[in-house]
Amino acid sequence: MTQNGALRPLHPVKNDLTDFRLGLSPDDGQWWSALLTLEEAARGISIDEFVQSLPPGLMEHVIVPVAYTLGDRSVRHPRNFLTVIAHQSALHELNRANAFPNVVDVDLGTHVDEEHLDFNAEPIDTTFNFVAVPPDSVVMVVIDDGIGIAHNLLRDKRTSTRVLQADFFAVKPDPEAKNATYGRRLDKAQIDALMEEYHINGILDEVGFYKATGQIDFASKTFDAVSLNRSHGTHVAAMAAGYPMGKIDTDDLTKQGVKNRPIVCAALPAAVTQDVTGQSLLPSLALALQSISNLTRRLVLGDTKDLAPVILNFSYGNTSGPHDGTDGTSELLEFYGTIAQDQKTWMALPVGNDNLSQGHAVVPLGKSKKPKTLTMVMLPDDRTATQVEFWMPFGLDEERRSRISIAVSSPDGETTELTAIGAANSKWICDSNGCAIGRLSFKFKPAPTERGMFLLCLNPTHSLSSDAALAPSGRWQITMKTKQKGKKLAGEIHAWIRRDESLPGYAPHGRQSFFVGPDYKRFGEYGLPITTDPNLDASLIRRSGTISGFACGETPIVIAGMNHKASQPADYSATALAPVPQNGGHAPMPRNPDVATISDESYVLRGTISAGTYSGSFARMNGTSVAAPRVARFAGDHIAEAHVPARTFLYKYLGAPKHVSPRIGAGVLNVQVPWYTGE
Amino acid sequence: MFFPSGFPQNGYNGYNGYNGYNGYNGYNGYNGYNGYNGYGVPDDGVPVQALLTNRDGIVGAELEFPQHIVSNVQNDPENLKRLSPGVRAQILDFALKSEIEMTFDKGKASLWRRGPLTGKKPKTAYHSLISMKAPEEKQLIRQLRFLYGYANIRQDRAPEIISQVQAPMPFYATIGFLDPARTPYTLEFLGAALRFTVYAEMQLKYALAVKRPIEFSPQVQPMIQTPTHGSLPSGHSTESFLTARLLLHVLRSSNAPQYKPAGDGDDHWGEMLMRLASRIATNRTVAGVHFPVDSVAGAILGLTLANLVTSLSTGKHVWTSASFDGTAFNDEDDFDWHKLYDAKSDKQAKLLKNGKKTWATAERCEPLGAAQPVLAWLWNKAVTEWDDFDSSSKSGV
Repeated sequence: MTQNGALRPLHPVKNDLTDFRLGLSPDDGQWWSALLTLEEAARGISIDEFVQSLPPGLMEHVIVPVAYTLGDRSVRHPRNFLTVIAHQSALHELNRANAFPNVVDVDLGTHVDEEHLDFNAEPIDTTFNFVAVPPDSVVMVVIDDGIGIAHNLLRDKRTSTRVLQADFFAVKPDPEAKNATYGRRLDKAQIDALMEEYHINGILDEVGFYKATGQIDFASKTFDAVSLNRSHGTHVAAMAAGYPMGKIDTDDLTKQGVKNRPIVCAALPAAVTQDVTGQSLLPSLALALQSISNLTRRLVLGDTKDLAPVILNFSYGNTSGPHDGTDGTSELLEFYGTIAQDQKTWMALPVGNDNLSQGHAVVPLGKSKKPKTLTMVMLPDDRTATQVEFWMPFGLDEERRSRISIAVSSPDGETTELTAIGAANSKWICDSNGCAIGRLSFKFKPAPTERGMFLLCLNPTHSLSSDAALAPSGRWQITMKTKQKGKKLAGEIHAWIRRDESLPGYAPHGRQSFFVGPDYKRFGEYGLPITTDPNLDASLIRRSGTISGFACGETPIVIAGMNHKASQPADYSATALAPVPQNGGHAPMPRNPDVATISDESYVLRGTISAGTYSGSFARMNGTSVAAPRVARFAGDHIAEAHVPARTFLYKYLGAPKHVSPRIGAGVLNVQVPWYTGE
Repeated sequence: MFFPSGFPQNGYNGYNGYNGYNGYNGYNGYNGYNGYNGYGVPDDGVPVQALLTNRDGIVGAELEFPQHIVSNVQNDPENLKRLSPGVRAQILDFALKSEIEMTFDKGKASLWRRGPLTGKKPKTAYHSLISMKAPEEKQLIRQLRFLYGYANIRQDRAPEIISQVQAPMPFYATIGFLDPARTPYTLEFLGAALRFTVYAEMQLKYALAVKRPIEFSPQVQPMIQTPTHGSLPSGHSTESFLTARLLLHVLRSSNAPQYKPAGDGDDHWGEMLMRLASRIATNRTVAGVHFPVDSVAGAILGLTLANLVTSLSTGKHVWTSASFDGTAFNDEDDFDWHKLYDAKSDKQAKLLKNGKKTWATAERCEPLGAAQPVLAWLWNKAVTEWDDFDSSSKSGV
């Protein structure tokens, strides 16, 4: 698709969403971030081997960031992950279905400003020096956005940070450092030096400090939430690892209640955070994990060779993906969670906030020949694309898949129909003038996912550009059709509308589309919202299955949110998938949240308190993304003593019931976070 | 608000949301017979007719005129205490405003301060107080990038920006313990200085005639009404830095030890006051009505005027002769007050350069003669309000 709606031939591609998004952007030599999934099942493939396989003409358009150490580049993995910074033309080439067979997927990130790139950065040596941390240390890893690393709750002394390393991607590089291709990487010594420099008359000039780190740069297009009074990353980081500063004249901070919680963090580009669809996340997430792991796998406890335990908090969520742990985010977390074999690594993720967002629907296959129709409302003034994924059951063979088709009718009455034939195919969705306003595609995702997926991509409903091809707002009808002949067609199709709303503090461009239907009851007695699907619910629209698509992996612990005063799950706290009928094979099982903890004080007092952006300030934020770091904090206090995986430990700690709840998992974890600044 | 009007932004009262500070309105009581309430004396207002009939009832036959009336001392500040603040304001305004003069020559606007008057028909010499040159349009166009960047945080700053459309004294009252009941003379002193500052800054704005950001791009779209006066120097920056420095001078001149930087120690009060001033100035860029360079020029002007006011009020304090050349300012730079002033030493930067070009200077100058009597009277009253005392300092009890 092109932005002005002109049709172009659709060639087979590896990643249809990448192709769709590249098509929306004019090719003017712009750099992009992209995650390449490399595969060579038999002998594995290394990054070096991939790079050497590129023709010279393509090489100059692809940059491998220096976060990939010389050692990492030479290691073969059957399935390997590489974030590159590349020109649009190169990504088109890599995404072609029949080109570069070792590249099995190309996930597009965001535009990368050339001023954020350091072309002179140098890869670090493969020789890894171990770095000693105090013997009782637990390393707290935070990946987020807008992380106010200078906040007093993240320092141990006035000009001494507990942050051992911080990555900031969408910032201008430090030309002297040459240690990051994209943005900046600061270590503790650099952060402390800046703190010293900006500590004037006994008070840290935090705006000056953040300008020096590159996080605040009002003259550039860089936006970072640390320029706001509240920032998600600061709130989350302090909730997970915030402790009062020690007194200046005392070295033994543990005597003052300060725990040894060195912090390693990465702030994702604001553009990634702002794009709540999650479609652009993977490249910067992979780069963050790579850079973080370069340090964490070198941290040893005291004078031993024991690697310091790590707690990773990633308070992001999303509605897309197969929700079976085979999504890209889960795969990355598993890959990097085990990169250091002997290092205890626990991860905390939020269950998501989409319980009542009407973004999930379930269409049973096989019970009736009658087509099932979903109605999706697209709002006007939506300046971002709308995407819906329709996931088929696990293990359907090609013949049975080919009996499933999907018809999409616009509010104007134009209908486009696509059948799940072959491994991949797609069609333009056009308006009555023949102008392309969307695309309907099908792709079969091989093992371990082993599921077919229809993807509906629709243009924005509003644009400031006069020649933009717009999708009409209103009610879109999406009809599933099946042919019941031959082998039995059973199971369910699960539909998820990708998140598309605007985040507080960010430009309000997105408008969330949602399903509606006469059988979906929103409110119950006394006008309260209904937070669990009623029994015998005839509605196709479901609360169960609204769990974040990132939160279905095997390793992470998944955190639900509680309304403290009401002693109930927060209304928005997402619900796990109901057990999904499988079609043979070894389908991954759906995941529940593991535990719940406070995310709202009460219905009136929303949110919980943690650090505001600037030292001495506190802020209130809600959502399961602030519940997750509370559990991460708890995990930090227990990981050293635990000799089992995180989930096992938590379930045992809570005396878990036999059947965990789809809303709060094994139970409610009460984690006290006493806030005092200690100054 | 207690502060006398006269601020150009007063036309936009509708933007003012800081109703919590309406307590300052108690001072409206001075304005007539209705003012006794301010002192706790019961008073529901007295109709004039009642005063007439009351006199008729009690006045009696005409008495001899009194013989022993002492004449008022003429032109003496002791009389000031008998005057209402509104009347005193006129005296103070004359004292301050007659101290300066402005010239404009080849793009350079200069404020001059008057030297001591000599002779029956007064003669004097003028000394350079501050000179300013505006940046060129191409520099301002480059500074527009800051306007776009700062616009991203408008929602975050909106309550502050709207509350600061008028003189934002309540913000200073959160740092120094300003209160109409506790520090009326300090407030009156700051008010006089602010009126003087507006008088001076408006001359410079008028002379330099720098266009506002809204005139450069239809995408600036300020979140508040753009004032009609020129962009540079920023009035808010001038006033906020004047207030911060002047209040710091008052605090340090009192005998309360906490306000003085101790030896090698830090100066938290000065730093915090300047941080506040900087935030107020920056908020005007966030709002879309000023370039960062406007705030730079405003801060230099405000700091310079503050020193002048203190020098005129004490006759002992140094004053500053400063300059700002906008054409030499690096248009890539944001506003950073730390480059201009050090709170602990209370000194402005002597020389600021962009490559080989000098864009700001500041020279400390010895006082020119004795203190202005009316200003000294108010200064001393103000400083006394901050004095600490303990039981040993009280006698005869």
